[in-house]
Amino acid sequence: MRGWLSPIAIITAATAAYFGGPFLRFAAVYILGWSLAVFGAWLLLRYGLVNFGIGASYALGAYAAGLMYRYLHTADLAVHLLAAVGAAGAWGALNGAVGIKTRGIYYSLLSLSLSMVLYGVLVKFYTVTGGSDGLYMPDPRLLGVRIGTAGLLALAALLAAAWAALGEVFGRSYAGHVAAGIKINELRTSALGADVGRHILISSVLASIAAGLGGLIVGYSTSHVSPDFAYWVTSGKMVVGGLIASFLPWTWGFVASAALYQAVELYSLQFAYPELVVGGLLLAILAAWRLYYRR
Amino acid sequence: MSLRKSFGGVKAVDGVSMDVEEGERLAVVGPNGSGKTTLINLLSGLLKPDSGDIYFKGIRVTNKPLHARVKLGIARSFQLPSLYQGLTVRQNAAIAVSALRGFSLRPVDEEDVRDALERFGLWEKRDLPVGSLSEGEKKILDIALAVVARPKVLLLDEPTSSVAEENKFELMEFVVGRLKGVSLVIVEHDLDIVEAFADRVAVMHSGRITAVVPPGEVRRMAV
Amino acid sequence: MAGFAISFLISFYVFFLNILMTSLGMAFTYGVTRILNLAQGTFFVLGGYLASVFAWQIGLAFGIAAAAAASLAFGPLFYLYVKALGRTELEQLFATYALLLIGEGLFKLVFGNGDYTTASLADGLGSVEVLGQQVPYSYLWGGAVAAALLALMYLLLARTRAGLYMRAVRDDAEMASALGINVREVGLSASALGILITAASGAASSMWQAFTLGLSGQILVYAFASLVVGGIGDLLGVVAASAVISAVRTAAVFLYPQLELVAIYLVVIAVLLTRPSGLFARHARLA
Ligand SMILES: Nc1ncnc2c1ncn2[C@@H]1O[C@H](COP(=O)(O)OP(=O)(O)O)[C@@H](O)[C@H]1O
Ligand SMILES: [Mg+2]
Repeated sequence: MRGWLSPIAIITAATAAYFGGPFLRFAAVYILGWSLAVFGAWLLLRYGLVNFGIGASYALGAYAAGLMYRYLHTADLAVHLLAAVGAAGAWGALNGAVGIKTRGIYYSLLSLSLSMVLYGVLVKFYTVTGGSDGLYMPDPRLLGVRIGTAGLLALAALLAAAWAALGEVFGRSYAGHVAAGIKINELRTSALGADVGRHILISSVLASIAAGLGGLIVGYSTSHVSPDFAYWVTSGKMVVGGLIASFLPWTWGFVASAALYQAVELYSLQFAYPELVVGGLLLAILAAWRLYYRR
Repeated sequence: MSLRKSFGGVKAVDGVSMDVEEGERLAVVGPNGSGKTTLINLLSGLLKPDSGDIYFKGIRVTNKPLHARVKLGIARSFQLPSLYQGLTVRQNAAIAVSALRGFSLRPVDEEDVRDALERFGLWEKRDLPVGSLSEGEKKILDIALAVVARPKVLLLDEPTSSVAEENKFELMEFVVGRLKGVSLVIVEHDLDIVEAFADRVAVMHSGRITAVVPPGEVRRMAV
Repeated sequence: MAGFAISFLISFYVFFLNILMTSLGMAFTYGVTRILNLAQGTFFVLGGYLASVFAWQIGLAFGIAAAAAASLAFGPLFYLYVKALGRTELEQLFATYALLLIGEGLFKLVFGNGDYTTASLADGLGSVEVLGQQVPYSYLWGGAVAAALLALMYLLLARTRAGLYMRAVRDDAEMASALGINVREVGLSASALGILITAASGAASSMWQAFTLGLSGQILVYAFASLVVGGIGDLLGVVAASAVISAVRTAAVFLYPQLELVAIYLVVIAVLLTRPSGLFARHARLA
């Protein structure tokens, strides 16, 4: 039952952030949105799949809404959510379907390649996509009313809580156990009757939708989406976030890990050498994990 | 119609035709490299034959993947026990139970896990990591995982290898006693075991079945 | 037309030299140690920076040689670092990612934002005219360095005991260890070799390439593409694939510069879907 505290903890933290002033509000939206992409990376890591292209889903979620606004002039939240889920879900199905043919680092490189093709398309077809400048993201409206910062924070918190609940259910479920089996010994798991391709396909779709919704939220929070969302470095950060989340014992670990990563990245900008700070933090986490698990 | 499979130039299985009756225990014997494991791989669906067909209760399963055959009732164990290292006995069984359920988000039914382990006397060991089990227990758990699917045919690739000589017989007695009514295809080197547990024995040599004999006669054919 | 062909060939050749040793070093290190080094490009860039700094003190040839010699120390350090921090392949990948970031930070700290190159020194080497196009001698020297590194690697792998051990560990680490080979020592020397060839080629590339922040990540993206197309376990395949990738890239840059990255990654995807273990793999092995 303790696991069910996760969604509640997320909502509580978001509420606290709301009363913490404009900067905390913005940061909370950004982190919760980004954490959904981390969730996607984390979910695939449960299968042993390192998706270096998860940023493509993240980008598609935001671009789906940005393009809706640019061409159909709609800022309706429901339409945007549907578009983001549809685009990211379709991408996840594509990534899952072709990914099934490959494993290990080939899977990573295939997903990276797919995302880089998307990145290239987003940059180069600038008449449609706005090129490297990206697209403007409007303030979303619900039933014609702007949802504003409070509404956006509530949306981000609800989505993160919903995915945390899914993570909790997944961990105890048949599907979650099959994931553990596939990660350790795929062949054995299919010899026990699991249709590995189907499991990976469905999880790819779920992971991609999570990341797509995350991209949508982050795009709203900055009023902007750019091809950088799909760049492999963005995906790399999400994989790192997912890996840190998998070190953490809680279902809301993906939010904690996203908060940690983003906080350090933000903090590092005060220094002349931010990469050193982030790299050093990653080293410290890895070292701590190694000391903790001296097996 | 007979089964063939080659790897590059090596004809690993070269024209095998064979039936297994319901409830029968067929032993497959033969020297190393004679194609026994490859035969098991073809029957279980891990490999696709170059030519030939496989039927199970009248259904052609030649092109069905591994997991689909499990659901029809063909399960297998591996020559080297392949358990989920780093997990406990209970978690291993939970994976076996889950593998039959498709992508379901419902919680794992602990009763099923318990049944799977109790049947093979492993419930008491449920919280041990599989690495700490004895060789014999590992083999038993390996078979217990395969049996979760309630197979009609169970393909056992060298179920007693890596188990100490004096424990082999006991192990087989224990396992076979819990598999009443299940057809078994057992790859086995130990002729005492073959004599004691098989109904029929197929002798393999360089990819072919050279003889099918009653267990009493297998020593005469000695490999 | 001939002029166009020559300038196409030159830019193909230079790009090939730029990515060849990073891809090869990465593939080789992965083959023996199972470490996928995201910081391989960092060592290429490090070689370039060091050569640029040294060359102004002690001359071009000595500068490049000194950079290569200095890089001999990095491989073993890299291996110890990764093994100390990561037990699984994933943790090790994480450790190399951290190294990529730290490398970038250190470059900024030590070398600042400027461009580092030995191009103006290399201009002094002169050039030769081919079909009306000037081809700098430095390109030929760069090719000679690459050829020498390939030959060194070939001799080491094919003719020495250390090379035999490396091949044994690459084919089956468990078996090799059972036969009494010290897998750790072999991994250490393989990392040393993989990083040496990458850094040495970075040093040579400084004759035409400007080294600057952000290059480590860019070079990595092309190296990834070579690894997939060549098949990561197949060194000759990776050499051929580096040529394929630079041909595709150069063609895209000449014909349709907008689609450079897309063209490369479409090739990669096509290869992964049709030949999942690389374009040049002779046969697929069942695990
Ligand atoms: N995946 C494979 N690739 C290449 N050759 C194989 C493969 N599997 C088996 N073989 C070859 O096929 C032959 C039969 O092997 P196998 O079926 O394992 O024999 P057994 O189980 O009777 O010892 C052997 O010559 C073996 O080397
Ligand atoms: Mg065998």
